Amino acid sequence: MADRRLLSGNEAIGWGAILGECKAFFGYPITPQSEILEFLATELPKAGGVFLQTEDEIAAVSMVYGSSMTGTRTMSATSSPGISLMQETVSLMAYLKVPSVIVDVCRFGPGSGMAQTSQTDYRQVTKGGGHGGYRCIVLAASSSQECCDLVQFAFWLADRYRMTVYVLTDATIGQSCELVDLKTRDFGALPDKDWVLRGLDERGGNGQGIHPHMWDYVGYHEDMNEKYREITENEIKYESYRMDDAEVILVAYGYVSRMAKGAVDLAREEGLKVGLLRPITLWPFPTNVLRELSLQAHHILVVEHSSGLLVEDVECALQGKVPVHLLGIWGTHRRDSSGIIYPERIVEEIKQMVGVA
Amino acid sequence: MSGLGGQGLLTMGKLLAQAGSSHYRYVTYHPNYGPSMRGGECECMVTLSNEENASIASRNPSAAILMGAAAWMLHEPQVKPGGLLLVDSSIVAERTMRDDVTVHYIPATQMALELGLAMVSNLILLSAYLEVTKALPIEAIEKALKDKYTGTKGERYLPLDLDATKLGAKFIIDS
Repeated sequence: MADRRLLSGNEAIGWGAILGECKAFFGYPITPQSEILEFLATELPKAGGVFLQTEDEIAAVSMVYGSSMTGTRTMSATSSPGISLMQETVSLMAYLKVPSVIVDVCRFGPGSGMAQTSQTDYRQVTKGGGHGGYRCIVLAASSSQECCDLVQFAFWLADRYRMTVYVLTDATIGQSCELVDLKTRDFGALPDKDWVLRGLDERGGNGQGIHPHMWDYVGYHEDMNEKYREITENEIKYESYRMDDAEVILVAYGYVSRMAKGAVDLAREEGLKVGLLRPITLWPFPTNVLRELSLQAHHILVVEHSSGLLVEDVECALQGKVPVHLLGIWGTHRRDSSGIIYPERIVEEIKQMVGVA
Repeated sequence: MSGLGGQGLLTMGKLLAQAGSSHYRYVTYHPNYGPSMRGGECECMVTLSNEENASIASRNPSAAILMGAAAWMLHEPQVKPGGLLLVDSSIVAERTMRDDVTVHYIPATQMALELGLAMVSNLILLSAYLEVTKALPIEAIEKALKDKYTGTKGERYLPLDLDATKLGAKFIIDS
């Protein structure tokens, strides 16, 4: 029988790291992410890896950079303000094509914000965050199982494309518990890491330049664009739920996508033709998929626990061809930081939108 | 289950989820609490099902265990018609006006104090819930308690915990 356990999203991320052969973790605790550190502090050394709690997030990501340069699968995890602190080095890693996996268990912002759930950092992780116009792949998990699987996939993508891959969750996914099948995922062969620094033994102490385009900055951006195009062509992932005859399409990710899934079921019980598109890769965004699905739709409803960030990518994809509505943070069941967008509220919004009392 | 930090709401939910893991194919435990460890609003929702849980949580649960006045205000009107309310009547003075739900008023904190420790009021309510719904055998919670606390510093409370799980069920049977 498969190893099936009740795990929080945060614990499942820890397991994903171990199953994904992560051998080094550097991080600093912050609610709602701390259980990742708590888990890996005991479990990663047992799996032959190194765990270090650093003095802050800047040190953590700098160590991720150094460790990744030796070819070691390395990860960090933090929550929103920690991601802000890491941006200088994330930009540097993008420039030097250093793979890394960074988990963001999103909390409410801006500023130090609140430790409870939100999705206010969509733009930060999908549109850069640091300087230089680089991209990072962003995988959005919506269950404990997916936390475990997507971290493994993130390591594969990071090595395949030599770049930073974010795994984005939120306090709700991080702290809710569900049953997880602990399975090692195989995503296929990877190129040799011929760029890594191996120290004195293997290279006799010779340095190796990894600066990609010292004298050709245009070439650098052309190469990057080519890589981003390849990723967009090959790596888009999404889930489409009860979409067959859907006239109303919900678009949501993370914890809100689970509430939206519940809303689809509730609405269908009342005879409303509703489906859900859940982007799993937030970058690259499933633009063409959404465009195609929207041909059958009368309404698109974006649901997100923010003031409207995902909705920008949806509007950009649809270019005004289908009306796009937004149920944002005002859809939470209370106005303080304990607010959650529940399925029932989403159904209410659908009914208002389509004019059913 | 909803009340204040320190009443053991998350422990109760996690125990139910853990015990449910060997009886149901899909289990979801969703906690929601503020930054204060004691006295702040605190709640969690557990879904046990043999069909995949599309949603993580619902605004209209089929049963609610309410251990505080704020929890009552927030959730008493939201329980599904035909649903179940279990109320710690040592703390919550209100009585429901609804006639479409089953209600049990259980002086759980008072009962726990008489047993020796207010902290086990959660287990009294949890076992009452299981006695009413038969969602799980009481033994499943006893096993989850033993698995969780054997060999930890909480082990000395195990006999008291086990007494509390019997007491809640007995209250329902006797009432």
